[in-house]
Amino acid sequence: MNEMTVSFLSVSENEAFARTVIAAFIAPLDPTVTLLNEVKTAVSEAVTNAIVHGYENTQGMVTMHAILDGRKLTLSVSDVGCGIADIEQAMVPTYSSKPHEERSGIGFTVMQSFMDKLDVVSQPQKGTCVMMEKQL
Amino acid sequence: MRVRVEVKKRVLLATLMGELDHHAATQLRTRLDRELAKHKIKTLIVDLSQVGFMDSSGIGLLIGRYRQMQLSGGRMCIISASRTVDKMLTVSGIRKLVKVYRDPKIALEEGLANE
Ligand SMILES: Nc1ncnc2c1ncn2[C@@H]1O[C@H](COP(=O)(O)OP(=O)(O)OP(=O)(O)O)[C@@H](O)[C@H]1O
Ligand SMILES: [Mg+2]
Repeated sequence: MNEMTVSFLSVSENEAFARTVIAAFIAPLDPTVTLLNEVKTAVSEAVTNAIVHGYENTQGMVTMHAILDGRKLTLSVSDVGCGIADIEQAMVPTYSSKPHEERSGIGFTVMQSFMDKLDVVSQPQKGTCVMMEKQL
Repeated sequence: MRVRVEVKKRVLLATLMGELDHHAATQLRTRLDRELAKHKIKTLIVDLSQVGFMDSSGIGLLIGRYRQMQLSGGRMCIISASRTVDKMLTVSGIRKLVKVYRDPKIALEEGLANE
């Protein structure tokens, strides 16, 4: 059993930082390259969403929390940004509130297909928490 | 992320190296668009074979350039090699829009033949 939390400023440089942190956290399990990349991609999607949508043109802190229980990874990425008014709509593949910024609306679809489980909790003006699970 | 740009006639081969995320895509977009306009490019070839990581922001960048090439009456294709990048191309559905090659040489030859 292991657990960790990191918080970092919502700047795009920290997308790579978050991927590196989660990779290091699960490294002792020696996951396959495929599994490792799936986890890194899911984290990258959630962190990018917090930065570009959650905090939009403002800055705030993004928190990543992870628990390893045997080979089961549970992780969450949260922000205290603008929140999501309609979660159901947000999860629809190819829906994006920012298509003009060259977003294709597939972030949640990627998280869903690369992880075993995905849960989104959000409240407008309060923030968003994305929880994911994966057996490594 | 690093990028190497080679222009032959009106074919542009952009070789991307490193991790293609939102941070890299923002910088790359400006660079590519400048080169596309400067050389009045007809065929854009994006070589992803040296990209070790790509997420949906990379897909957004690719689809954005594809749309742009279409608007100017040009074409675009992708070179892919790594398993990770291949998977993102599949999940995103971009394969329906953009042709994916294995070999940059063949993509380049076809691009030049289309001049
Ligand atoms: N942390 C967040 N805070 C506020 N809104 C969010 C957050 N995460 C996602 N959203 C909303 O959900 C929508 C869908 O997210 P998703 O990641 O699937 O697509 P995208 O980010 O718009 O595009 P892509 O991920 O393909 O670049 C976003 O357009 C945004 O409106
Ligand atoms: Mg997204």
